[in-house]
Amino acid sequence: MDNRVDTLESISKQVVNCLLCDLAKSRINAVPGNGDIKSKVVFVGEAPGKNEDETGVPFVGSAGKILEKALREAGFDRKEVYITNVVKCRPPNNRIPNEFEIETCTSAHLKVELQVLSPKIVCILGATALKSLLGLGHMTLYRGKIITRPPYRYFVTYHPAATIYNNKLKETFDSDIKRLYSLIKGENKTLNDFA
Amino acid sequence: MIKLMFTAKTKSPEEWKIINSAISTLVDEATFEATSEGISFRGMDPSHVALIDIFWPNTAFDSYQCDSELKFGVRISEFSKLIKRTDKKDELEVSITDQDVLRIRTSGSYKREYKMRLIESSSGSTPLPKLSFNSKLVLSLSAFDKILSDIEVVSEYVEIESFPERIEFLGKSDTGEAMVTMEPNSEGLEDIEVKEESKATYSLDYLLKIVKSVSSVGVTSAIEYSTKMPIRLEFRIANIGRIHFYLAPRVQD
Repeated sequence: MDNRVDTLESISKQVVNCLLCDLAKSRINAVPGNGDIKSKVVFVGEAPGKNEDETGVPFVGSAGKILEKALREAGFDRKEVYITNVVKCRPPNNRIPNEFEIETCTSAHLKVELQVLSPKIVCILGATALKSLLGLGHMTLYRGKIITRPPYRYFVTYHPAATIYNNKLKETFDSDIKRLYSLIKGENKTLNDFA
Repeated sequence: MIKLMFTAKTKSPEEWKIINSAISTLVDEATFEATSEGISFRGMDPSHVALIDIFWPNTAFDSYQCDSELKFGVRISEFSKLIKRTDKKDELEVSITDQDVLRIRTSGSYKREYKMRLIESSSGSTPLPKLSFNSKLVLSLSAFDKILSDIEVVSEYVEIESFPERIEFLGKSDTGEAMVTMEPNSEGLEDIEVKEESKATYSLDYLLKIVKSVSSVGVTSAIEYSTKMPIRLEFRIANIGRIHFYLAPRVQD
């Protein structure tokens, strides 16, 4: 476990000092993932926004509040899960990160993060994460689905920011997070328990 | 002259397709083990919820030769891509001529040869769970697929409960419930043996994927389990032998 904590810390340091793309020039802070290393689920969003850029912590702005509330209502404790983004630095004016930024950042950071965390499920938050992690478009086709793409299983839902002005999406998002909770809590047996 | 370390011929590429498709439900990087007896594969998915155990005996091949035991690692997605290029009627020869390369040759409409770089094989062995089963049923694969799909409409899990004369498949969610009952005269149920009434819940996602991966060639599935214990599915497949699939139960917190 210590080893994994060390590795995760070194990933965070690399993120903080990363100069691999131009987003490094405009950021205030790079935003490494954070949360519990033992988490069975890793939430992956798009990129930091203004509040995250200022604080260096992921999902602390209005989208973060929506996520945190949905997590709490479903039964998760934010401290017990791990939250990160496809891209670790804020794109200027919150534009969608470009392909180069996504490819560079995920190869250097997110892929390593997932390897270390080795979660039971990766929860994809929004279209950018869906495209970046699985190469899939059409959020509506995949939302609410479990996609097995070894070595991980993915659960797809909206980005909480997409639900801010849309109550219907928000209800769906909340119920998706509840389903995710039951998926994770339910499957607590492994074959190792019977060896 | 090239020394063949291992070579296995099949009358068609279908067998490898099935093997790859079954394994791909759990892992992408697979280590096969070849001995003079045949080819085996055993592997668990990363979350250690499911395990596949395959034994493909030498007698099932058109011809088979393996001079000494060897392990070879392949990326299933790459392997599948190559196999998918072949035609159903092509004879297929898979061989290893040096440490790092798997050679795939087909003869049929024309001769085709692929060489695929092997990946590092895993060193450890995966132990099988130690289980004794109190309930067993044999279902036609099409019936099993239908039952699981019936339940999937409302739930992501299936609870299987066995009684001496019937088996119930149950799914529940916030929106509703689904139940399928199989009795000795039900179409598709070929055998039922209940030593002790059993009840356990399993993920439909895993079950449906494995069942669909073998359904084009498999005929029946023997389903064995006990209360709150892992389930084992056995698929007997012509020209392959047997595929065992183990799945840990879901236990609600």
